[in-house]
Order: sequence, then structure tokens, then C-alpha cells
Amino acid sequence: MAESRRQAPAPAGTAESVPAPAHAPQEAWFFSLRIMGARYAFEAPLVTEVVRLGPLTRLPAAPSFLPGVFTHRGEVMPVLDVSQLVGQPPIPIRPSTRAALVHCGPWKVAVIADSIEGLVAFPRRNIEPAPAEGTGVAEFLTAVARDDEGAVAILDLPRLVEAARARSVPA
Amino acid sequence: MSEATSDLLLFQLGARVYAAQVDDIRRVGSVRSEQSLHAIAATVLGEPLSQERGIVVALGDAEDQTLLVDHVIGVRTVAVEDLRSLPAFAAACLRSEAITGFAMVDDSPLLLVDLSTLIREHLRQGAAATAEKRATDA
Repeated sequence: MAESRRQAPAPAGTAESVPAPAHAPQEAWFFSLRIMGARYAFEAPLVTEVVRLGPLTRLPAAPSFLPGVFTHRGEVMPVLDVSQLVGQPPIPIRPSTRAALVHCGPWKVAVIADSIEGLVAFPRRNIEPAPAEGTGVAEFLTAVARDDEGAVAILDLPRLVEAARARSVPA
Repeated sequence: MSEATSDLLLFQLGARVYAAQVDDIRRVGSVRSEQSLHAIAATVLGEPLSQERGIVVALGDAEDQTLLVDHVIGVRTVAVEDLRSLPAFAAACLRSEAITGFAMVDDSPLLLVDLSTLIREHLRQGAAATAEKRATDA
């Protein structure tokens, strides 16, 4: 089921590191995917694998951003729909849907996307801080990067995953 | 050396099949009208459609309670290694602690339900709703 396992060729930069100190790499690596009709990215080292989503088992009493779980190599993985977390329509789940398996602190989740672009490198000079305030997904932006294909919103994925957990109603 | 196993009761509620450890289950029977008056139908698992069976669950320190389900499929013995915990993130996000994991049965993951926790949560929510209504009426 696994489609790729890629390592960033250089330590990933973080949005907060802009502008880079003199000794830092000139490029920052991110993992990019397309959701909500736009390109989003997060720190590349968070991603361990890209997989095609297996049959989804839906969970009772689950929030909308947790559409279910699937089994990958014998491990049960929870699926995170970022779009629903920020109040947007759900990402359609099809046989072709792929997910990035990510580790965010104690949490291991599969982030689904409309499509996955993979590793992308941005010259640090092309990374700008995100707007100071925002709602919805803008709440989790740390920077905006640009390449030949346009703008990419850089997400603070660990904060987003933690916010998802915190927004869930405890039993 | 024999492998460790666990006995699970498989039951259907709505369109889904669930599994539960048999340890908490006192008995399974058909639903008689006098029983169904006090039986529990709607829980976080949903509401049974035909309500043909009642699973009587021992709560230990409280009175036994009956959970209405559509069908009881039977008891299956599965290897302990085929029981999986709920992923930590999912467990942290669910509104119920009664969903404890999965049992791999015939290569399909069945949701593993802790019936006593399911019923205790249901009773707790019912009591809270009653208290809120009394407070509103007063």
C-alpha cells in the first residue's frame, strides 16, 4: 500500500526561522498537498509515508474531522480531515484518495488530501510570515511560500492536530 | 504452546456489526415487552431498528441493564493478537470511552465495545439530562 518513503535531502526549515541565519541552508523543505482548492504544506520531517487510503471504518461518537480509521500494515491509523476541522466541506474519500502519515508529538495521524504533491523546496527568501490574524485555516498558518506554481500556505501541523484533539468533546 | 484468546460476542445494531467481550455479559435473550420498557435502545452506537435481542450486561456495583440490539450473531474466539487498541488520537477525540478498539474478525476490523462503559455513560447522560430539566422547570 505504501507508495513512497522519502527523506528531505536537507534539514527542514521552519517558518519561524525566516530570515535564515548565515549558516542555514538556502532552501527549506516542506511536504505539500492540495486541500480546499489550494496548496498547503508543513514541515517535511513530520511525514513518514504516503499511502493510499484503505477501506475506512467509521467511528461512533467521532467529530466530523475524524472520518474514520483504516488499517495499514496491521496498524490502525486515524484519518484527519483538515478541511472539516476548519469548517470547510469534507474532502471526498475515494479509492484513489491518498494520505500522508504524520507524527505530531504523541499523535500519529493520516492527513487526507485532494491530491499530494510531495516534497517541495523553497528558497528562504521566498518565504514570508503569515498574516498576523486569521480565522479558519488561517489560524494555523505560520508562513506563505512562493514558487513557480504560486503560493503555498505553510501550516503549523502539530498545533493543528493538537487543536483538533482539544476541540473534541471529552466523554 | 497455545496462543492466548478472547471470547467476543458479535452483535448487529443498525447496519453495523460490533464485538464485545463476553465477560460483562450476563445473558442474551429475546426482547419481551415488559423488559423493553426499561431496556436501553439509543446509545452512541445508534439505535437498533428491529430490536429483536436484548443483551443483559452486569454492571457490578449497580443493577444489571439490558441493551437492545437488532441481532446477536454469536460468540467468536479470536487470538489476543487480533485485538487492536484504538489509536491514541482517535481515543482522545471520541466523545465516548466505550469504543475501546478493534477485533480483526475474518480480516475485517470490528469495533470493540465495552458494554458496561457504554451503559454507564448512557445512564450518566440520562441523569444529567433529567437534572437539567428539573433545574429548568424549577
